[in-house]
Amino acid sequence: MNMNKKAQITEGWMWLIRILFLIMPLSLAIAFFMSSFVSSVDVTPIEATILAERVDTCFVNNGILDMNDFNTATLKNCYNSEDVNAKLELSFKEVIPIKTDNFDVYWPLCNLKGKDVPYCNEFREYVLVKDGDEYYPGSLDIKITLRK
Amino acid sequence: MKLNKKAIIGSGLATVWAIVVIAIILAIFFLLSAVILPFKKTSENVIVTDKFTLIENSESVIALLNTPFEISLSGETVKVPLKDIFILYDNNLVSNLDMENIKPQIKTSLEKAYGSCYAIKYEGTNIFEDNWQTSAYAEKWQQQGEITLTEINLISGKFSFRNLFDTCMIKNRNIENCKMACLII
Repeated sequence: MNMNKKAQITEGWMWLIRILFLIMPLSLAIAFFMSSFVSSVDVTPIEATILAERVDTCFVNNGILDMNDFNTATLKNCYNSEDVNAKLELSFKEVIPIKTDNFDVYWPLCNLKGKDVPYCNEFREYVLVKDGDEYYPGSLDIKITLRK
Repeated sequence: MKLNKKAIIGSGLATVWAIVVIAIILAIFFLLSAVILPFKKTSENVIVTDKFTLIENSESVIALLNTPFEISLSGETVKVPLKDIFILYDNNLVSNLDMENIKPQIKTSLEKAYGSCYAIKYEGTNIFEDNWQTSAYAEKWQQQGEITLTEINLISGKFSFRNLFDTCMIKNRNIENCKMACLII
């Protein structure tokens, strides 16, 4: 009876090991599937779109872009990341461009093909420009480079 | 001792079974990988469809509604934001307020940004439409669900804006081509 009890305990331990052996490959398989699926989804276009939308948060208030805020310092604060570079071109009475420091380094790479080439996209929107006390209809061109 | 031996044999057999089960799981896993791999190759470049980047941008529409346009009030020309013009017009607060004079001003403003690639509609007491029904492409894209439609509810009616320039950008991926297509100077 004593021996039988020992065998039962051993068998119990063996079951634990068996379950472990079953869980290990299963979790590995799930992890592999998840990682392969996640790596195949390229969300860079959405990321760039969201970053372009950030311009509205940084520069535009209630549809109005105040010329006092339209400067490189605000743009740098807006895109405070080495991975993101942007150029804004505001057109109303004249065309006024502002850009981040490394924009001219990355933008020419957009036409190249390769793994390390940044993702680039352009957006355009209607803005109401406040210059002094006057309001002007204008357009804002947003160019974004995003390091993958 | 005899019982213990049986237990050892049973345990050994169970281990063999466990290995067989693991082998079957791995075989299924590799088979599935082989099936999924071709799909993965074709979809590596653009998995997230560009349609997802067609995000409604209400800020531009709010900008338009806040844009002051010239109207004649008591013989004097004044500038009034578009949203207030709609209220004046709908409630007949101003006599002789001619929307036909305001339409070209709206057109000129929007054309700066979108050329001919826009459509607006205001469903107040008097329906006002500009470019809404004229674009055959707009209807086609609308059916495919590839146009951003921004709707803003004002006091007396709903203002709708279709951004066809963004749709062009999705199709062409080149801003210069879209500027040409939309006749932006």
